[in-house]
Amino acid sequence: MIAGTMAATPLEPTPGARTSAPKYSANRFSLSNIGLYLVIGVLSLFFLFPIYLIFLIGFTSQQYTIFSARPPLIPPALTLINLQQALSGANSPFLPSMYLSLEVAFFVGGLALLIGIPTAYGLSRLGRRLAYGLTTVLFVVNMVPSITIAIPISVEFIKIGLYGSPISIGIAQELLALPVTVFLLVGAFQGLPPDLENQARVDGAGRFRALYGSLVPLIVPALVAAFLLSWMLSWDESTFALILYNPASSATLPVNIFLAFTGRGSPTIGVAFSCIATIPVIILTVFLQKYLKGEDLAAGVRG
Amino acid sequence: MTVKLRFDRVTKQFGNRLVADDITLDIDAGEFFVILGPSGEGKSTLLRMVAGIEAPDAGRIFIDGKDVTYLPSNKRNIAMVFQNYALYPNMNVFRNIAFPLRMQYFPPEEIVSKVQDVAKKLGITEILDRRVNQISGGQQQRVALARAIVRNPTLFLLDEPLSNLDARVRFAARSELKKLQKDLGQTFLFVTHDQKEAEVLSDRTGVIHHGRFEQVGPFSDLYDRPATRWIGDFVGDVPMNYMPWQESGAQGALGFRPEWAEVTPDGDESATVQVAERVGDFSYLLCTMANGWRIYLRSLRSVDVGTEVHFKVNRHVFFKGGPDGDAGTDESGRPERHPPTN
Repeated sequence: MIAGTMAATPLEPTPGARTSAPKYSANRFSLSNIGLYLVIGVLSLFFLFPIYLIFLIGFTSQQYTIFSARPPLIPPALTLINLQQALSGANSPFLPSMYLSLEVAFFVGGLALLIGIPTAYGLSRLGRRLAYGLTTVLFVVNMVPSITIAIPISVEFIKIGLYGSPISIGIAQELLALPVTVFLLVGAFQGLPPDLENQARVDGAGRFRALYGSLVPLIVPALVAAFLLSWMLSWDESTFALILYNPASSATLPVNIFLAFTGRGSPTIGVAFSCIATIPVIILTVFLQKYLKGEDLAAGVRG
Repeated sequence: MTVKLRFDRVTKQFGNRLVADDITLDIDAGEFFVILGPSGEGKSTLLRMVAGIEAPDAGRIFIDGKDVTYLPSNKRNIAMVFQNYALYPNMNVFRNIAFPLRMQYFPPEEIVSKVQDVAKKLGITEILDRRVNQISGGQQQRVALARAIVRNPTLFLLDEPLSNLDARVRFAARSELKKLQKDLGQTFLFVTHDQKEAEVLSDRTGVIHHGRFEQVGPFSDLYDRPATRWIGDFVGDVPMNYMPWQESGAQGALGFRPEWAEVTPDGDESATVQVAERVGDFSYLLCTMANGWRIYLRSLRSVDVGTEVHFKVNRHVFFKGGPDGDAGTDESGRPERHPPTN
């Protein structure tokens, strides 16, 4: 989605430059431009095709897809029967699963801000190099495969009696979401004029009120971006969610999709769940575009 | 006079740059004190140490006799206006001015009446509901001032608050600021690099150079009786003029301002005019003396470049120092302090 934003910013030559500098061709269909559009087209197809397949299987009768030797790329007829079966079956895991996913995702997003704001504020008050170094250290958990830490974490959760609870899944996923949040927010805090906080302190605000009364309201775009990124990360995350879920109650949507394809349940249920799980992500991504460009992102990268 | 603010042997260093070198200074209650100095001389740092934004490396700062050296900013009951005004961009004008009151948990009705009072005093009643990025630079400066005075602090710190204004607005803002300070009767500590502001605003001015107050006193003293040649050069439209001087073994330089000398045919000194600049109703003449020294003179009549003019010095100050009249420097590179003689 970031690549999309950048490609949407064409290098428009000014009228003056067009006559004096033939380097920028006025012809939009020059050879290099055609190549560019070709690359963009291939890339888009590459990323969109799996999503197309999911929706194709989701909205086409099983006889053309799962039970067909040569499934067509264009659906002969559309149907809602798969979704109906998946969602309203007698013991469909859909509703509890959806509920759990939402619960965990909002927990992860909220906790990321709760911890991320003071952490990022503190880091942003250190020197830039130190802040950048420490923020990088936070990403250690993201650098190793989730599965290698999921097992020891599970053992700890069993010890303290949290294993299988939504909170345990949320806390584990927070390990992945928090570094991203802190990284974004450190950049946002560093982008603010330092005298603003000094002014608030002189005006009688303690450190806490200076932070939440005068600084935090100014980085709302970064907060929204951080919350949504954490939310989506949790929504999509399956490793921690699979290891830590309680089989007796319910699992998150990605885990149910995984289980549907690997034994329990039918592939159509998996596909139907996939269709539904994709929708909020698509909506959020479109929404996020607004916040993931320009100064907010630049502030995050500046380090 | 009671002492409002006291610097007691305050020292502050950034890296290996000494911005405050053992500064000791008392500022009286109700005084308009201007810290004057070129850019990068640590003027703002002094102010920020009073505000509690920076802590000194050594020494103490007292407000009303109380040691505040390490007290957090919000416990000092001071007001500060930053150079860029630091208005809260997410709040409108009213909420900006109300912010210090809200921090002290004033009841809402009292906040409204106090903000309206101060807005009336500063003539910004009409813009109270505007966003701070929708108002002019002059209005922003008033909002910053309003926010500073709204909760009646007794010490105001102002960090070049006029430097972001257009020349025309700055002129009006300067006189209003002086009037405001007289009305409030409170202590103002004002930092600037603009000597005109120091001249117009200050009761006393301290000129800071190499982390020290090179001279402290009424602005007219800085002009008429500069303590060092550096002050003589820094204060005034043009640098002070110097002539070698020698008497009974002592060597030094006579310093005089252009208007202390009179261009007249019966003058006993002479110089050749190199440049003539018309300023208002007189001309500045940049001249070279026979020994190669360059001096500025003033003449009411225009004089052609290349002519030789005669002048006599009616008033002067004396700087002791090396053979060329330089005030000289001590080992650390700081100018020595010599009491001026008339």
